[in-house]
Amino acid sequence: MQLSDMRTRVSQRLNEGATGPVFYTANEINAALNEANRFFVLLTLGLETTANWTVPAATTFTHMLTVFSDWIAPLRIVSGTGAVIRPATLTDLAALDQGWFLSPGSPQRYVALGADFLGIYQQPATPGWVLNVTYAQAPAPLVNDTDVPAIPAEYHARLVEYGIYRCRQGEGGQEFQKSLKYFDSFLDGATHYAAYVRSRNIGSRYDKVPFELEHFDRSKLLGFRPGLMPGNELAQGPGTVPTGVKNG
Amino acid sequence: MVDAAHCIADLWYRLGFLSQADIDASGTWVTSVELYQWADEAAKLIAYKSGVFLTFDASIAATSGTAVYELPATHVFTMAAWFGTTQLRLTPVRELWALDGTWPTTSGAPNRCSMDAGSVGTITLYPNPAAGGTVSQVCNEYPATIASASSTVALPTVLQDYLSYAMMAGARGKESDAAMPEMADHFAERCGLYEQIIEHLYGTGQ
Repeated sequence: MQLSDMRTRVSQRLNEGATGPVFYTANEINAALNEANRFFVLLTLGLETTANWTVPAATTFTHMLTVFSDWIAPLRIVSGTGAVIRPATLTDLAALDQGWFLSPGSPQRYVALGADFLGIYQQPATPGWVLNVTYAQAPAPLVNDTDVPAIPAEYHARLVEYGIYRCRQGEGGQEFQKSLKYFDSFLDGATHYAAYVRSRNIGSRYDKVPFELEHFDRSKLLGFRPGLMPGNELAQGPGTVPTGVKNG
Repeated sequence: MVDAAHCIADLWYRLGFLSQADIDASGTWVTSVELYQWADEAAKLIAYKSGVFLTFDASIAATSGTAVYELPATHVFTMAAWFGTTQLRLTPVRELWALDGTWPTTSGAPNRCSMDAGSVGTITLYPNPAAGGTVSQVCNEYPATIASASSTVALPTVLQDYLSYAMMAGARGKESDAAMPEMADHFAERCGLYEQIIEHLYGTGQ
């Protein structure tokens, strides 16, 4: 589904279909759909790409966001000859070689730490080492009307639902509460696709799997705290009739 | 990289503003400065709750006869440390006493380090170095203060919205005519979900 199609659907479902985006502007709906796209990919790690990385000589540690700006997490690293560079922990590498972090040679292991911090053991002694890096990729922004999200098309409707939920965030209260079912549906879609990606990544012996959303307690996220909502308070003030009391 | 300025551009509408100029007008119920502050607090929160900001630091130059050194100002916790090419075993001070009854005066080539032998914010080398060298470490460091002039944070772009929701949770929870406690609560829950995902993908903190 193109960005313009998704925007129109969000607008229609917010009851602006006849006149087009007015109260909820086109820019606001586009921003909502982009947020939906980013969040879906973060929850599912559903986008991946493979690219060559020329490892700097005599360098162990690299911040991968400076190499690949759309980096999320490493999935697999392979040498130029096709050998897998195996993932390891700092403890593994210390057990393997006390002086591992300055040890020159051909890369055999990697350690991924933090958002983008990657250590290579052994560090290439000479320039020109190229590694083949497969990583979970952040989505490209949806800018033009003809842009299509890179996630599978059967989940594009979930982005539309998230768009409605996000547009209602500005209003709060009961208007927002009514949109929480759309957010729930979005999370259901992300859970479903993440389960597929997880089993696929395990089967492919990738090094990262998506977050297990099915084990996340959504009750607080989707259940409003009525005590905080003025609209849900029992009307007991002067001139009001308490619930259950009939006039006369 | 995440630019917190993009987060602010992304939440004008949801906070009832029309533009950056609108939010910067005098007398508004929330200001850009406050929004950056909430983003900064969120970044510092994940700096100790998760291992998201790990980096390599080689800024400590050890000298002969001095065992205790200040850690970098932004240091949160250390994962591994080396003296030259020798990996230092992280050792609590009680184990240093058990190992060597006169450990503070023992001299030699360091092979251990302690985070609690000296005062908070220092690293102590054992044995006391007989010769100078570089102490390097893989450690978590919190990012530079997020403000309008320094708004980028080294996070994947998919985490941009974590800072947005932190800003909105702060704004809607703030005492003001535009307060929406129920929305602040929801936005805080969204931040909580992001924090769990960050811990899953990038490791837990201390």
